[in-house]
Amino acid sequence: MNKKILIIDDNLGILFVMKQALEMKGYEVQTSEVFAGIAAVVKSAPDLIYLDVSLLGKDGRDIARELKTHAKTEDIPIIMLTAHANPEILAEEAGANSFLPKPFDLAHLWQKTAEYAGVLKTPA
Amino acid sequence: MGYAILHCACMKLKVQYFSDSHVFRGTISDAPKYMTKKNNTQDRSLPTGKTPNEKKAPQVVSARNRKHTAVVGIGASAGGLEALTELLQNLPTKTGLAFVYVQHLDPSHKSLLASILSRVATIPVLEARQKCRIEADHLYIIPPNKNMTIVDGVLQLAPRIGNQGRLISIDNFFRSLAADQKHRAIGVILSGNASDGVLGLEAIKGEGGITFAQDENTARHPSMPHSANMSGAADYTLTPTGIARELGRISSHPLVAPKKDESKNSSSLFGEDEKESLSKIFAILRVRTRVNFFHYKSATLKRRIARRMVLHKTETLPEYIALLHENPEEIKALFNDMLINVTDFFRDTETFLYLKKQVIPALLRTHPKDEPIRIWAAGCSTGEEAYSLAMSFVESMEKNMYGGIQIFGSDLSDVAINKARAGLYPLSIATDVSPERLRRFFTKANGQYQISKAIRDMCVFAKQDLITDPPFSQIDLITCRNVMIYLEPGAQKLILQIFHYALKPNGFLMLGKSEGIGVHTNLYLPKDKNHKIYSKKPVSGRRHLVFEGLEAHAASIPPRVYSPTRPRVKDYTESMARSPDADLSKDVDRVLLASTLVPASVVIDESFAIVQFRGDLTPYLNFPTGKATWNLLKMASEDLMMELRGAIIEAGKTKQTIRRSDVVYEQNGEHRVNIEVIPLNESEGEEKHLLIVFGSVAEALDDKKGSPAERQTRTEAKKTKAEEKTIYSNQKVEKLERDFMVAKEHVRSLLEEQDAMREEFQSVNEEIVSSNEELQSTNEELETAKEELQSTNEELVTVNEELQTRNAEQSQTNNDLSNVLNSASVPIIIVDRELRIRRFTPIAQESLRIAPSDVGRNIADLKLPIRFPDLERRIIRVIEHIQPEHEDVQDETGRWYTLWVRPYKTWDNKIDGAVITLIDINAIKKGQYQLERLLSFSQGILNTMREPHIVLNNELRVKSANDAFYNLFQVDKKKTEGEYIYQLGKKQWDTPKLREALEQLIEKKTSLQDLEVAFDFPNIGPRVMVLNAQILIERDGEEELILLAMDDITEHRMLQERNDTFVSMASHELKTPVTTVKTLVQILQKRFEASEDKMLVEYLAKMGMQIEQLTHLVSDLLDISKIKAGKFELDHGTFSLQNLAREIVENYQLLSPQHTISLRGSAKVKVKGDHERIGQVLINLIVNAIKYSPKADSIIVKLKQTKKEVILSVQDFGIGVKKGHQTRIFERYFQVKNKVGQNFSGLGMGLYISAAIIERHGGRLWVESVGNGSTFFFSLPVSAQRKASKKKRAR
Repeated sequence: MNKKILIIDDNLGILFVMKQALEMKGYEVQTSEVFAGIAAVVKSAPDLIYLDVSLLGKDGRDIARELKTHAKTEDIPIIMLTAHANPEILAEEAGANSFLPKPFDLAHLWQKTAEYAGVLKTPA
Repeated sequence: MGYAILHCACMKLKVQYFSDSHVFRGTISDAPKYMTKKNNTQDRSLPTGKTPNEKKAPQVVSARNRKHTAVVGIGASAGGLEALTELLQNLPTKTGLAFVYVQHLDPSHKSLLASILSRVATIPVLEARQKCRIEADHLYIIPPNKNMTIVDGVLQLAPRIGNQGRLISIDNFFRSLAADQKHRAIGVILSGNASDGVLGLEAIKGEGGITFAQDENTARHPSMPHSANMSGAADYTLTPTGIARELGRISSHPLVAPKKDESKNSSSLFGEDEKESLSKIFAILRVRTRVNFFHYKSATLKRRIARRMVLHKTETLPEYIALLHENPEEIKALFNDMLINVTDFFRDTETFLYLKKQVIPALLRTHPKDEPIRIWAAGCSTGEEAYSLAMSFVESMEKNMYGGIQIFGSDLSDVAINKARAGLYPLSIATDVSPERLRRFFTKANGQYQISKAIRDMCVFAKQDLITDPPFSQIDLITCRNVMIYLEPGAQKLILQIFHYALKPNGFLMLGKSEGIGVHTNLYLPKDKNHKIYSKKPVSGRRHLVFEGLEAHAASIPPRVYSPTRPRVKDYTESMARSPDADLSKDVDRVLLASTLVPASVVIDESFAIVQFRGDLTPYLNFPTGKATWNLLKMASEDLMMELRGAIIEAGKTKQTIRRSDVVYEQNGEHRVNIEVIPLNESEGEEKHLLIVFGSVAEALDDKKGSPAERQTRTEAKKTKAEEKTIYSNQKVEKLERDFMVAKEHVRSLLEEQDAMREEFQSVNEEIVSSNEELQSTNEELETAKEELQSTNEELVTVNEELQTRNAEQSQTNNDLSNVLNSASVPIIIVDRELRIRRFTPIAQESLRIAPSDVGRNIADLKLPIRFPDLERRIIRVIEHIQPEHEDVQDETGRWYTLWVRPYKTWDNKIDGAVITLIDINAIKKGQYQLERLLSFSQGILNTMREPHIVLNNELRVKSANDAFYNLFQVDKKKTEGEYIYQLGKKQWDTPKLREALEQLIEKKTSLQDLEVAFDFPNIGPRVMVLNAQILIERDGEEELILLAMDDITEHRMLQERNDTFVSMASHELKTPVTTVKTLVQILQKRFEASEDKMLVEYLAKMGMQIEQLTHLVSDLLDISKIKAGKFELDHGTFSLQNLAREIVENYQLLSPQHTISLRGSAKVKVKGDHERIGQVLINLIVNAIKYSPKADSIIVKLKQTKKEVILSVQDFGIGVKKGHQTRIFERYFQVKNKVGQNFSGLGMGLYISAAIIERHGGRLWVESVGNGSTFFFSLPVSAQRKASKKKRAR
């Protein structure tokens, strides 16, 4: 069974390269420029969410808190994506499981993903 | 042994010789010493040194006591051992002197003095033992903690009680030495502190002994010899060597040492011409000093003269007289020596106690309240007696009525009187004066005691010769102790009479222990025989006697002419005691006894008055009626009277015995009598007396003719013859009888007439006599008045002397004053109440143009060169209001002065004018002017400065502010100045930060540097300012001012913040595209890992590296903005720096194959900090090292561990860091340029960030660069204990 990763970031470049990189490892990747609501997340049912802190018009931390308070989404691991100086603080504030500071190495991205979403035995 | 006996005989002979010739009375007692000397020489010849005389010749024992020629007492304290050693080493071996050494010793330590001194002394040295007899050429040393005295040449030791007496042990011994050895005592004072020994030396000198003091310059501790010299007690002041030499000389002087040739001895010294020589000396003294020493006992005087001779090395009296002629100073010295009298305070304590208990209360009780008690201390020497009396009286009186007592102290010696007046005594008087008295009556000054002023004021001292000068009169108490013992008996008697005159009725006389009133029991009544206190007996006619004495005395002294044979003092007492009655009786008895009869007889004087009756006179005399009379002529019967008168007158004229036999007289019938008138007492000048003897005729016949039978026959024969004649001439007889009756009648009338005349004469005579008596008594009164005048005069002289002393003091004060005025270079003018100039200083003469002739002129009349219009009014105002005034004035040349007008106050606070003082304040004025200029100058600078400044006082109130301040804060000057800084505006300055800073500034007097504050101001809103403050005046006592400068950096700060925000934003915004590109490149690399297109792989790799650098740049920029924003946070863990370093070195070795990176040293301990950030620093340093040593091939990383920290260094061998850059390289955005000016790549952020990281770890980052290459160091504190990281990170 494929692991499904949801990435929410308002930068299309980031969405593109992350999708490319994770698909290289065989993950199923769904990207979104905006947060479409709890229902949409429940519907797509990801194994891991990458969530950018500074989204257009909305703070990623609020989204994370919302997800974490919702029964149907609270178990989904969330990794905060940020270029902020102190990412660990932001992650804590958001109630997220971890963080990935920008810019990141490909290896780092893969390692984080494997840690929270699990490793796929057969990469595509 | 026969030799010794022979010797004794010699001695006896010698004594005989001395006393026979009346020569050298004073030295009779010395005679044994000559003998002793012989004994000594004899002793020396004996091997044992013990005299055999002791056993064989007991009569010599007393002589043995004086084996030595003299005893030398040596007193010393600190430093004395050294001086004594010197003395002993220079002493001749055999001097015949005995030595006793007294030193202040520690009472608790055993003294080693004897053993020390015996090493240096040539004579035997012994520690003194109780009852130890002293011998010649021995040195005896006082044992510790003992009080030593000498009695009969035997040392007496007594334990000391307490600490008392430790510092007067020398005085104690010297005093006993003087008393025991008299003129044979010698005193030596060597080095030491305090003044012990002075009184002892004085005592020795007083007994005629010789005294030495060490030269102060050679003494280690000069205080003791100094005191001895100052008091005049020392005859010689010499070095110890000099003293030794002088002792040797004295020991061989004839007056001290015996002579070998005895006959020569007597003639060469005080020989047969002694009397004459002494007379000469006394005459010299009389001329020079007006004191007649003939009254004095010669023994004492001779001893004193002998002393002077020893001192002057003269051996005969004529030599000494010659010396006296040559040297007037010696006369003075001799005079002073002769008058030496040693006295103490409260001498004979018992007597003073008695005085206080009995005499003083009696005097206080009886004397009238309004009259002072007058006391005369005659022969008071240096005043101790007078002061002791004063103290006793003051203690006895209830109130402090010091004025009620007058004490006159008199003495012959000027020196003594001056000492008495000064009232200064050495500290050692504490022996005689109780501590309480010392406290009450003395003040301590310059190591001496001085009698307090109150006591000194009670006592008046005058130089007076008891014998020649008129005495004081109306005295209540006279003390004259130990004066008379020095005088001849004649002078003693005279003095006792003078005292009798001087005393008030019932006044008291106090004499010395060994003195008395002698035969004068009629003048004085003993009050207490023990203490020799007498009271005056009222004696009629005493004045007469005294005046006779005085007159006689006055007559006996024709000035400057002197005859030794003439009686100087008439013996009044004798003439008084020898009453006429007593003498007459003797004469009469002698006459009567010679004639074996006791006939009826009377003694009459020249005026026929009967003085004595003898035998039965009733047959011859009767008692006439009328006025009682002792007149013989009146008592005798008429017939007898005629015969008696004739016979008495005849006897009076011829001075021979006149006989009238067979005188017929009528008294109860006719009787016959034989009368004999015998003149008595034929000596000149005395009243003549006559003895009249009545003898009956029968008795006379009996006497002549023998038996009664024969007498009978003769009577009968006569009768027959008469009967025969009767018839023959009866008629003739009748005629004759008639004639006779007529003649008898005539004679009777003549006689009656004569008697009447005589009686008339007698009454006239009596009147004359009585008026004469009146005259005499008037004369007496006049004499008395004269005496009183003289006494008053004497007192006046005394008072005058004191006045002169005061005058001298005053002129001294005056001198001081004029010197003060002259040396005060301040113009001072003193004016009186009428504004007349009284005095001015010399400088006033110059600067105010006042001439000495202006004294007495009104100050208003002078044209002073100062502009001061109403000076007169001002002076008058000052005099009236007693309030000083001053004003700054200018003279013609423009100099500035402060003119002070102060009231002139006299000692009793009366205002007697004014003192005008001009103080030159030109310099001050100029300084003030310059200061003002300087002030306006600095004020101007402050005002033109763009930065706001305010000046605060030490209470932090605004003193002033510059224009920039008012402009910036847009506040009013009036509301600002004087205001408390924290109260300004809306109290915006009142923040804890500023308060703390300012308090510290004031407290620590530091300056305040670059304090950044942010305040919200009412008019201009929030502002950020940098404050700098400085304390302006820091001198003591002056107000501290604080200059507070402020720099408004609000805008600068805003710009900077914007800049930082921009950097932060930019780096943040850059991150996203970098992430995208980086990930894309990495995806591409992953994709084409295995591609054959090598170029593609290589390009992708280069792109990856560039992107990596870009990532670093962005990350560094972000770090910087974090540091600036204070948001730079560290992970606090512990790790091994060594492991980290090894890891990084290994990694970077791979990256830079050109350089060999070696890791040296080790650090086993762990450090505290952020593992990742420290790694970043190390990487930065290694990258830098690689970058800046392009041509080198080696980089050394070194670890070093100390107790507290681990130091890591990275050394390269590249271009190095210039000295000037060594601190700047750690600044933000600093870039190093190489020689060509080409930039090394980089934005200059690495070292800045590294430094920030290390600093936040509590370590340091620094560089050392010498020549080629540089070494960067950083230190990190060692982790004391393992600690979990403070912050938990969500991971």
